[in-house]
Amino acid sequence: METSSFIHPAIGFLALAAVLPFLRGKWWNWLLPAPAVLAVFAVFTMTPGDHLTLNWLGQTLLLGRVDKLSLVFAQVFAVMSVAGMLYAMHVKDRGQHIAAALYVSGGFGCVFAGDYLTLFVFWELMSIGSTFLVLLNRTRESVLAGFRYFLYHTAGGLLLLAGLLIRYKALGTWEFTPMAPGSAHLYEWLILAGFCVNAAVVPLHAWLPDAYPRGTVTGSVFMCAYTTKTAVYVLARGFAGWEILAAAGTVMAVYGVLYACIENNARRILSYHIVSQVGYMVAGIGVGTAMTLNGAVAHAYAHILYKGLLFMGTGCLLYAAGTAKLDKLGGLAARLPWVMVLYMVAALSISGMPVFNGFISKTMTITGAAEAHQTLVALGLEIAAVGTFISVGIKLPYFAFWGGKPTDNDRVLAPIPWNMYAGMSVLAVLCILQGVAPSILYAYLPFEVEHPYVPWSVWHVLQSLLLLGFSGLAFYLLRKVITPHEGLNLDVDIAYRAVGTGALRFVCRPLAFLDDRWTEAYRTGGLRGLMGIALGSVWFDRRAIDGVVDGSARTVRGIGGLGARTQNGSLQDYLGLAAFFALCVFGLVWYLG
Amino acid sequence: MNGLGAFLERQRELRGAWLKALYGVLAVLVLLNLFVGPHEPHFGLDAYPGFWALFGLVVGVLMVVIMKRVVQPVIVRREDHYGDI
Repeated sequence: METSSFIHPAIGFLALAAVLPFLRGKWWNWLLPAPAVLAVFAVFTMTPGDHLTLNWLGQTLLLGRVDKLSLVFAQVFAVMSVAGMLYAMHVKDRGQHIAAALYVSGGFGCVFAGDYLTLFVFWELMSIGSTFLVLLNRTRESVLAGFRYFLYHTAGGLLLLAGLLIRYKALGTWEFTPMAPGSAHLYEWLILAGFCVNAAVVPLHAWLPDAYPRGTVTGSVFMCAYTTKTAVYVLARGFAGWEILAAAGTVMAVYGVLYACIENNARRILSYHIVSQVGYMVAGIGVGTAMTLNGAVAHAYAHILYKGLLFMGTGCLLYAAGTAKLDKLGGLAARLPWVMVLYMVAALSISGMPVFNGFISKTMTITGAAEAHQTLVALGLEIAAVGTFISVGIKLPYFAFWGGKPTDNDRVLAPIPWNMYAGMSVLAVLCILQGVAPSILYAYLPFEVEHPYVPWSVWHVLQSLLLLGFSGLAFYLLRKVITPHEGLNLDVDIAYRAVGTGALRFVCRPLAFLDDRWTEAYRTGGLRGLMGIALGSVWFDRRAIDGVVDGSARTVRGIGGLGARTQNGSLQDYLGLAAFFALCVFGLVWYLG
Repeated sequence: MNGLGAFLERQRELRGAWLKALYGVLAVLVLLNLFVGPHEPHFGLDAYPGFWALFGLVVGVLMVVIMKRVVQPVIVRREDHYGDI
């Protein structure tokens, strides 16, 4: 008899988030990796099938759909959470850990969700958790970016909600199943648009390079792994073979590297490269053959590992030197040698250098696209590969660690705690292991292919080395041209910022006008009349009402004070309260229903 | 500065040697390409030796020059353009 085993990996993280505020003493940070380790254990012991069904309001919700596709994503999510939690262990601010735990649990919830309602709930949990990872950086810049991020993802979530509601009306089911390519129902487009917001599909991508460089050092490490890859997962499950995604992915892959080429902030360079790398995955999903789908999944796996490591490396720069802007850095190689080495492992991985894991995942997608006769897609992805090596593989480390400047002995560097090195080492080892022995990764790929892809052939290695070697030569020849400078490069967010400012004016101007008029009228007419009435009532008041009213006045003042305390103008408190009330209402509905 | 740091510091002085090594490796790669080619060329032209070398160099040069010299001057603003820093 087969035994069925399933522990939902989100449970540990939810428990962590729940107990963290109440723990006393100094040692609570050792608890942080615990749910991550539990998640790894859970993923490797769970059996395929449907687990954890829940009846709610007459609906059957499926919280644990375990198949090859959800398993491979859950596996890399779990591995990444171990490294991420290790890397964040020194952080004293519990709020950041709670936000990260909620966010990661949302990621697991989405991956195992078998129906759209469950998916939506965890989708929004991710959105809230990640918003706090930006807000908790506690600078004006971050709070504003977090607010924009939250608005944008709320809008994306609403598209998804609208789509799944209309779909329910049309089909009578919440079940999350593949959509046939080419069918053009409104609800499918709405759901696709909701997914594409989180996948940062150009031109819906601008939230990413806006928010990720402004997150906390450790928060951005988590964010770079989960949001876009959860979106890749749902796209792979729902929209495989949708041709529009092949085009969109190719555009993303090229667009991202073009912007990365001119950016100055190291974390923004990496953010644009997320857009580019997720483009490979989206393109693979769009082409939709077993090989490109496997390529997309393999690339998502490899990408989470090396992109996490890249954000950790630049996070170390930010942590130690206080800035991640390349024009302010340089000459640090001898002072942060291990950061440089670990960063380079990730940089060579993302570039697709043989021995590192990008080589075994990127080439799979490109070869798959070419074999499916999508020549333009393959060509776009090759162009993106050149740009990737130039900006992340050489430009970023060159200007951060050397930059043609002498060794920077004057800069005061904050010492980097051991746990940050530990988190990075875990990922670096995995990047190399997968690159050397691809079967470690390929064994988990979900789709059956006729001829398994073999990355380690003489020609593949030679082609990669030629492409990267000569892109490197291009960098060397143009190193004076590509030197980064301070400045903001306009992107499509100019459009939604204009909408936001316009809407604000549209609401504020008439209100301000009305307010002005009302004050005027009140001052001339109302006030005099009121004074008369007031004189009359003072007499009555002193004699009769004082005794009665004083008591209730005290009560009102008390309530008012409470209201004033809650309305302190900080967005994080509003969000927290809103989430709290939503949960209360949710609980009430559940209880009464 | 630890051992690895000191090692990296020494390599800075050997810059010329590293550069020669790079040129040497590139030359060897192109030479190898004369004998090793793809079984199934993806684009047609990539059957010719040196295609990927030229591709990397040309795409790289064009990308950097166009983005830094043509596009960025048009779209760059001061850091606080939106007033949110």
